[in-house]
Amino acid sequence: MLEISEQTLLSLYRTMFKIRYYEETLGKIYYEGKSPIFDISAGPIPGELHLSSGQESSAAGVCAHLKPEDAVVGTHRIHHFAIAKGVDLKTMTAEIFGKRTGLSAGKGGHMHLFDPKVNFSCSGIVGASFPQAVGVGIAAKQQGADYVAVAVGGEGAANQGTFHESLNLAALWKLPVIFVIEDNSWAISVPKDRSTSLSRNSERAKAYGIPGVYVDGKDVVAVYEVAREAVERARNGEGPSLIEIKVYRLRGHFEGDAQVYRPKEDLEQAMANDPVKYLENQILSRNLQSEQELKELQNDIITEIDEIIEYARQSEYPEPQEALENVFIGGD
Amino acid sequence: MARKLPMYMAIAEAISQEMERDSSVFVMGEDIGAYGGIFGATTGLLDKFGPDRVKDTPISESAFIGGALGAASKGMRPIVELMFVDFFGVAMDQIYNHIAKVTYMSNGNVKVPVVIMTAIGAGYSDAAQHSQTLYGIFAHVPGLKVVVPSNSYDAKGLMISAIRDDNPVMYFFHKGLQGLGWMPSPEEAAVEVPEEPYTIPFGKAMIVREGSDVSVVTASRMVYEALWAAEELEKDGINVEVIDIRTLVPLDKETILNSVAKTGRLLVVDEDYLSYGLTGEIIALVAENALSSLKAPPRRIAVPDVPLPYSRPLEKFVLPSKDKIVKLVKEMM
Amino acid sequence: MAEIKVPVISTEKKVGYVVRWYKNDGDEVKEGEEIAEVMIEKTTLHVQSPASGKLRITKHQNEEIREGEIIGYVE
Repeated sequence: MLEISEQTLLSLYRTMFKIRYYEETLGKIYYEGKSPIFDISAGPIPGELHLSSGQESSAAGVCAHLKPEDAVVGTHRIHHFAIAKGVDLKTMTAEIFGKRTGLSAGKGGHMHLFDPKVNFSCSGIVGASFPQAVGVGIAAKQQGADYVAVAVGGEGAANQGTFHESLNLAALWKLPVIFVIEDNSWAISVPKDRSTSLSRNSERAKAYGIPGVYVDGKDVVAVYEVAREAVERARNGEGPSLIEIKVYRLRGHFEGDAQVYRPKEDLEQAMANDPVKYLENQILSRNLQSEQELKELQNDIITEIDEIIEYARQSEYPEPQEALENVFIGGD
Repeated sequence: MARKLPMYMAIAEAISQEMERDSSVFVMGEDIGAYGGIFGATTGLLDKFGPDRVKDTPISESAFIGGALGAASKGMRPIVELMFVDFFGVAMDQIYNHIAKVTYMSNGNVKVPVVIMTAIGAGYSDAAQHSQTLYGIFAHVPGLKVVVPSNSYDAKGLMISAIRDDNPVMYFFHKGLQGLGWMPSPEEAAVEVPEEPYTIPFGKAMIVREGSDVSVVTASRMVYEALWAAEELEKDGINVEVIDIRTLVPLDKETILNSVAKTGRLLVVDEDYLSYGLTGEIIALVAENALSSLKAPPRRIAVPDVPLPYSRPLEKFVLPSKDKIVKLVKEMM
Repeated sequence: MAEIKVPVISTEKKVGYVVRWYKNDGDEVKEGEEIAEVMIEKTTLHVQSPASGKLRITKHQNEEIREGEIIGYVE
């Protein structure tokens, strides 16, 4: 492992464990009220839910280099980036529960989280993040500022027109954008080799004259290194980069997805590459923490998350008429 | 013998039977292969017809929807699935500037036998970008037929008609009517469906409930809200006629006008946004042609010009419902 | 008399429910015909008739069932 301090390593672990525990907890809560008859509209978290278990290292490794002024524009599976970026977890969770205390007072939900304080946004339309991140880059240049934009999409999104348009434009105008493609191999039920004409999207960067790197997200330190270079490049005015991170989708596309299309070995392989476990083993084997210390660290996070969940549960729902508010700033 | 099928199986059966009959019919879309379509519309097709005719695509709507036009120009009859209608944005140029207009621009020399099927509808907290109805937008562009089944019998007949039509057909199925085990759906939508293929003509509305006091004109899932409201209003001696228009384009103007001439009252119920859409269109039709029949001003219920909110009480507040229909009809009497 | 059973998809005898029957109790069914739909967790399974004859339903719509359980008979 290159020049990465113990402190940074532990910080990365904290972020990743937090994400994992958060996502697994939401995963359990999602099924409340939905059995024995699975009714997608029922329970404390209704609708679709796309969890990022197994993909923690991409968020942790990239966001470690970001400041609040830097923007992250995400996709539908994005809680990990929200957490790593520093979105306020209380209001984010309340939003996921549809409560008035949520980021959008219940209007947006888990696919539409907006936290302007840390410049985080996301949406449910695949590929929509790329042009929006380009726009942040345009603003940075106009304003002569040194903040950067990170666009996050899956390997499926790399086949959407917006991906190609955005890379071209960012390259042409030398914008401070880092395009992050999380390759978890599956676009719902379609595996990468049946959707993408190349085996690596990082190769596509050449077509736009920008640097492209492929990194295995099993090791967060590898992601951290690659992201550091890309963010520095952007901040120094040297233009955009593409990072493709191999990540491991440990759960279904959405919660409730029976994944009948996914070979058992594929899921098993993903579990064997669990980035959180990998880092844990690194920390223990290098004696950066004892098992006891690690447990304490985990328990602190567990307590924090459990309290946040309780807050979300106890919060009030919005009043129905609030549905009509805030279509426009300043009213009709 | 007929069996009771859920709407998703009726659609898949229609496609299957047409694919058997006509080798130029094929299907493209995201997760329509092994997955059978996110909302079940292509269940069983991959096993039956193989990957050459049932093609899972990358997330490249512009390419495969525009591609449908190209394939049609060479004698194929493609069916493409746009996973959620809300995603139309990424492919809309191909749909409304090309697929819709090539027949006209070529003065009928080029035909475009493309079916674009897509999922619509709210009510299960999928929020602003996954809950829209939007058929009004497509109905507004000349050159597209717009079909909206409300039950499995209609779904099969209308799909077969759509596939056999030499024109582009937008086929909208409501997620909350498909009859999927994991999404609530009125059981009344799963009706008996004949095993043999059959067609239902476009431009023929269905009077699903006869009445004499008010004409409730609607489509898709709102047909059930209207029927449930009618049952309740019956107890108060109000006799409601419910019309399921089944197709927005072509529209069965005759049935609507005859109904209003009979009842004198018009209520249009729509799950799409209120302004500049279906409700305004039906009311304009009646105002232009049957104004003197009206005993009361025409009324409408639709989503009140706000994006669909996520939180359950907010979403419930904006969606048309049986209760809202009951309340408004009583006001109209 | 042939047994109509819920398909087995795991080793855990998972719980689910009957989504719907496509035919009514007493209807004639053909061997191989799809006659019902069940859900185990979030997997939809189509149930085929094991024989031709008269359908007898023992587990009705929305009733809870387990993998491998008998939901009806064909007489």
